[in-house]
Amino acid sequence: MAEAASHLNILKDLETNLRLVVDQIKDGESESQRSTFSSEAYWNYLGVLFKTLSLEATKFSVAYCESPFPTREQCVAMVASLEKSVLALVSAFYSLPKSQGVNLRKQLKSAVLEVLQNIIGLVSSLAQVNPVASNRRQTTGQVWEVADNFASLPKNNCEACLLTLKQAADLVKDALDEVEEMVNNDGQCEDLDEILAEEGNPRSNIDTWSEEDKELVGPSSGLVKTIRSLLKKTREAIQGHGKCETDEQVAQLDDLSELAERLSPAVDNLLSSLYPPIDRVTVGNMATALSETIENTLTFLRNSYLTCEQDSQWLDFLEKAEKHNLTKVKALLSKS
Amino acid sequence: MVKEDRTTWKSNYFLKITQLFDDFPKCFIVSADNVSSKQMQQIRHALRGKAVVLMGKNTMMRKAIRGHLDSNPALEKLLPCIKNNVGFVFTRDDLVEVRDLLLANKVVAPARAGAVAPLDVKIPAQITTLGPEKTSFFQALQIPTKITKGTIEILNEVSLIKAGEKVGQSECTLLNMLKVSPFTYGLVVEHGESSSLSYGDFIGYHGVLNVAAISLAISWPTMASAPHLIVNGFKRLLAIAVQTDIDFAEASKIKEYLKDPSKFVAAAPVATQAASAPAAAAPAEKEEAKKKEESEESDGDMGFGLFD
Repeated sequence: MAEAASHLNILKDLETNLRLVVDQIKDGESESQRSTFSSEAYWNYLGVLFKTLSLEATKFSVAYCESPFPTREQCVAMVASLEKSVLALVSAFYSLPKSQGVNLRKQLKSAVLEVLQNIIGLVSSLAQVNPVASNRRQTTGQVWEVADNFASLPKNNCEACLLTLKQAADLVKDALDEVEEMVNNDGQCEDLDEILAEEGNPRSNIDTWSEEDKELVGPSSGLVKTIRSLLKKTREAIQGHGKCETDEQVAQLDDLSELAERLSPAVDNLLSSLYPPIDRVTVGNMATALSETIENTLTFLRNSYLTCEQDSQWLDFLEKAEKHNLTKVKALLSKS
Repeated sequence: MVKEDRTTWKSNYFLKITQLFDDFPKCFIVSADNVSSKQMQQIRHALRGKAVVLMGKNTMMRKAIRGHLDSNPALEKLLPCIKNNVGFVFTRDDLVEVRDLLLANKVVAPARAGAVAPLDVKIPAQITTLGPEKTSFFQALQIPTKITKGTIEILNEVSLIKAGEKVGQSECTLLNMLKVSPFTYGLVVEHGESSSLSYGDFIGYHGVLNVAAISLAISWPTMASAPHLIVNGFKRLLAIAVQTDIDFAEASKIKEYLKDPSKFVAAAPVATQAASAPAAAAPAEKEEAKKKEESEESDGDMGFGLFD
């Protein structure tokens, strides 16, 4: 009995320590500025660390799959080995210099946190008086999976920025599909009723678009289409000219990622304001905000190293499209 | 007044979404392709007391989640998943149990022309109840038949539709004539999310990878995961054996290799050759995938509908 209790204590301590590490990473900032940074060596090393943690998880899982469970000494040794690997990963994460890019760092951070949180999940599934085998297997599988995700992590700020743009483009494409559905259903949104009717709320009176409302959808989706093209062209520009050799280049990619992250929220805000009943002031505000994000991104791209003279053609074209659609929305709003 | 009520309704919707995320520690992201609203009602009913289903407009769900990030930052990783025909199933109970309920609520549906087949469809050799006048359908699909006692007999098992392909009109007509409903539709789990712990894929429908991941995770062997289970287990056994004194037949070979690599030199070229063949095939596949992606994207190319 005493043996089992001491096991639990060791594992519970480990769990507490890991949670502290996770909290620290969440709030922590990178301190180190290494003068020499070899990207290839860094990512190779990090890959080994992810793999090691996956193996450590396996070790725990196998050791606790059936009794006799490890002795106290063995447990202490296993915990020490796991802690060593966790510390190595955390310190490797901190040693990624800021100059490699904020976005890259952000994405690595979330991958590291994901691995650690899944290891905590595994440890806490073992640190039970009566551990459940299916929980242990499930949590072990999760550690393997997130550790394997290392291969798909971006390894430089160009890749990180492309990933951000890809995610934004996927969501914008989804929003455009929704516009189509919206037009087909005449703006009706049954889901609103379903979810609240579940709770016994009476169904509301159905609102529909007026003819003026309907006209707003065209130019609004024109703005969204402009963003879709903008994201596509931006990705091509990075694939063509993107570099991460100087601090300036890396910083510009960070700025671009930040701008790109604002596009999908702006699109969603505008489109959700188009469901009836339409509040015309809100639609106007959302369309203006959306145009501003397009304009800011275009201006930034124009002045960045990512575009050259040949690119001014599509930059001009998209700017015209943005202005044309915004003017149209405003004209329609002022009509009524 | 009506408008005001509806506006309140709209803001209630945002409140409701955020409230669900606060109230429930775990949720599935499910794909609701081909699920009718009647079936959805049945699913809601079956899950009552155990889980709550939220289907909504993606733009609004994303907006609600973004507005709620300050109080629950963990929700951020859900955002990229909210695309296509998805919904949420919130629960406090065991995810596996709720998933089983979802699986139990699939319904059999007749084949529809144009729908993508979720699985292979084979028709076994059989004597049908169809009269000889229907022979032309079978001929159109090049299915060998003969007339037995005034009805059509299918001579061999026929592979009619492959998984992932679109169901054609003739295939569809034939299946309906034979009264075969090969597909089942229901909410399909795409991701499992537990806000208190971490995020992990549980089941995937769109990729074998995810299927493998979830089966590994819940130790539910499937065709997709079995090879991984065995290989993963074996690799790990080897790794343990190499570092310890434990020995078994396959491990002894590796140990022997580590002791004296030169013994295995002769075997090496064969292995390299075998390995290089798939390696050569890989770039070609990659290229093809890239092309496909490009062609998909070019649909929305510049200038198309940006002005009107």
